[in-house]
Amino acid sequence: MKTVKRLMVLLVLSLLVVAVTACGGQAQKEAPKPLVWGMLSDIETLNPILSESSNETDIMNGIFSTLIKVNDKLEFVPDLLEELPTLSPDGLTYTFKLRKGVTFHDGVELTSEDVKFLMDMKLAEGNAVPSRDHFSKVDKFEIIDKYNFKITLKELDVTWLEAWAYSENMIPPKHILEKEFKENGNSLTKGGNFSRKPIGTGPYQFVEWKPNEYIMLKKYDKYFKGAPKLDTIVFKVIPDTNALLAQFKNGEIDVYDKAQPNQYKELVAMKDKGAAIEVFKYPAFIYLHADFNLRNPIFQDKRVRQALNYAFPKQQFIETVLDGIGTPADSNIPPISWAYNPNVRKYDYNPDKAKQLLDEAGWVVGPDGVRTKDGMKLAFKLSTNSGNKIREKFQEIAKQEWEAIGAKVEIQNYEAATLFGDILENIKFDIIIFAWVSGFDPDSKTLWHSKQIPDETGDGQNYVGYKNPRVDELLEAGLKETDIEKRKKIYWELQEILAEEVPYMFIYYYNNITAVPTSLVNFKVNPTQANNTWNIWEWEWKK
Amino acid sequence: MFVYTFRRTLLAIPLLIMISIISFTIINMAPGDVTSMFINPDSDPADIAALRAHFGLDKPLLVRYFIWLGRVLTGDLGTSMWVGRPVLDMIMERLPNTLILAGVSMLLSFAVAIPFGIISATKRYSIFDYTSTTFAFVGLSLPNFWFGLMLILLFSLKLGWLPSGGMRANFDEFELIDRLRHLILPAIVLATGTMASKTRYMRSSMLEVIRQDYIRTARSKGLSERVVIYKHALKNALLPIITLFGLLLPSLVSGAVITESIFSWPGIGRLVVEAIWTRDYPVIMGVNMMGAIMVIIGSLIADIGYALADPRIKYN
Repeated sequence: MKTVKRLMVLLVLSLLVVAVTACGGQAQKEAPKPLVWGMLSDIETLNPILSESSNETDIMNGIFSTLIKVNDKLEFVPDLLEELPTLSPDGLTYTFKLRKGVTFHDGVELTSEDVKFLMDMKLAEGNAVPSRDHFSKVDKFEIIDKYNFKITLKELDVTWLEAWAYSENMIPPKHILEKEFKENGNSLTKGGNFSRKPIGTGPYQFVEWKPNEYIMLKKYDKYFKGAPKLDTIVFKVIPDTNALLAQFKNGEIDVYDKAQPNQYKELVAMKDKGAAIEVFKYPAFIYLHADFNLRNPIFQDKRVRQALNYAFPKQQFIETVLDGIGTPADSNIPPISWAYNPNVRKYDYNPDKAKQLLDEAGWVVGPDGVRTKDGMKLAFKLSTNSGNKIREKFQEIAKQEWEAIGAKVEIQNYEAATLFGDILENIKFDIIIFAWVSGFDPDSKTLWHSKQIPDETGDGQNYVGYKNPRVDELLEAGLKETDIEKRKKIYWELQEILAEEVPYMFIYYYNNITAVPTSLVNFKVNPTQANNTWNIWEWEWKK
Repeated sequence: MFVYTFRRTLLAIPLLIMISIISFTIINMAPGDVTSMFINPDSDPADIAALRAHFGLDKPLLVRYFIWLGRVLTGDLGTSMWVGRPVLDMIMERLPNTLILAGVSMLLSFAVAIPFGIISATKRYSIFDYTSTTFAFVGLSLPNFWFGLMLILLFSLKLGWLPSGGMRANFDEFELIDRLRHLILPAIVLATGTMASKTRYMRSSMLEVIRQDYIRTARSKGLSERVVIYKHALKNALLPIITLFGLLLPSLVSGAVITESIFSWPGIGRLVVEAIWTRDYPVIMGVNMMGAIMVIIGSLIADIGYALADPRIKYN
């Protein structure tokens, strides 16, 4: 009897639940539909000067503007400027001409002073900005008038312009930020007011930021390229990739940007079954690499490095582990770049050739199956950031393949903070696996130049300790050559040398996957650091 | 009783200091610090050193501990090194979300576990007992991430009844139904995991009680089974549940990382994990201390509740 009563109570409760679920389904209002964009983690700041994350760029592309932009065809186009800056014959002085009548969201007009102030803040001593590299190359900043200014570089650097297109050089309002900057002892922090209440000249204005939940933007009617078409954009934090996919399928988010490689098939299947979505797969300027510590005597002979490269089945790795979402890499420049050289030495899977190279280098197989030379064993550690499944899979395969040719491999992983803060920075690795995000300019001086070895010169990212005078020459010449065809030759040679000498084992270039509804018009993917919201002002719902 | 409470509160102070020393030492033993997260291809080592000095990370551990302690004693939990905001603000933003989710799921799990435990005990070895025991153990062994995803698959993707994550779909205004709909699935997932142990507690304590002499007396007086169980037995059988409630109190504020992640619930759990990843010492310490205080309060409440419910127990 009592059980029956209880069951009744349960029944009533579940009916209530059903009622709740049912009402919600129809409670849709007629208000303009917000665009909801899913992202994997919360942001830390919306102050472009302090920003370091790609999610922040996605949002700040709505709030702020840059002087120039890189479009989806990888060309520079003016944004806040009337036209692309003109360069003096000596290649040192750029002349900029701002559009007239551009206003910040509080109605104040943008002028040359705002741009100058950006530089002043970046260069202020004690202001902990992620990068002051761009402005430390500047010799002189001359304001001509409200809309015109000139920038002279200390030395010729043809790569300098690109950074103007990215979030680090979005223009904040001097009249607002100056007060905070000065009150804080000429520095800025992510806890500052502007970080959480940004004002820019972009198509959308900031409304609110609920930590770990969402960031909301509303359209700015006086945007200088005309009022944007979407009313509201919500950037929703969903800290799990399975949940992101579920929310996309369920229509709780409209855009799923940078989906996981193993979700590609499912997204395509969804589209094939008739869902009104578009799935983009496109190469990015990011590559995974395994770096040889060249201070280690084992790796000083390039034949050992080549052998390990030959003994890894790159193509098969991409097909099985990445579901084909990746492009095999032979150098640091991806095929979408104008500087890509397709004719470098390729390391197709060939364990026999690998063994032969090790034999030639004098490594003899010992009784335990491990090769030795001069009393030294071919034994080394393979490290990456723990928890990254793709990199861990790489290690498993590499260990198996490399031990088959006579190496002894120990996998030793660290969490990200330790790996990058200690193991990499203090050069405690034998082989370390991680990814670099590069600009679309092919320059890579900080990675290979012999003056960029951090434990020798205290500067740079040449963690492997690579030294090659010809490479130094090429890297320096590449920064000074204004003729694009001649520049291309320089980087072609550089790629040939790197592929031959293998200071890194280049593994693969990332491919990005992004899914959007077909009802979103003018969405264009952009593989550079400008990200896919680069043209957010053009987006609209299909009528 | 008042003296007892007062003494326990006083004892909590050295305990909290001990806990803070241990936590502070352990989290600082982990390699790397917050500045390693600022590294990128353009970082200048001088900038990193300046950053380290700015955060006071160049000082010895002991000095840093006393600086931290000094601040805490004046009510200042410090500023996050990673995002530069007051730790208290960061905790307070997320605390309500965590309280709602954890509170609702705790109520839900007690609401199911107490009646199920009672019925299981009174109808021992019946089909109901076996079924509820089976479900209790299944619930206990279900991994949260898997169960959560299965619920999403069924109720969101297949049936389309409930949203699969987040706290709201209406971003412009507060809408109760919208909020409740978002609360259902994560609350069920969290409740299911803890329901099992509560049901078993309730069942075994009820079993123990109904075997006692006074219950036999009550029955032989001719009282109805209903009065015997709900009037005479239940009060005594609830004692261990009071302890359990006290011990579960900290879970109201500690957050649930996995459930929060799957259902995109902006609670404390994610905050802690991110703080640990970035070695954001002030945030980790802030949440740790809040957890420690809750543990102490929880066990105090359990002890006091025990004395209130059971006149045999006296604290002197």
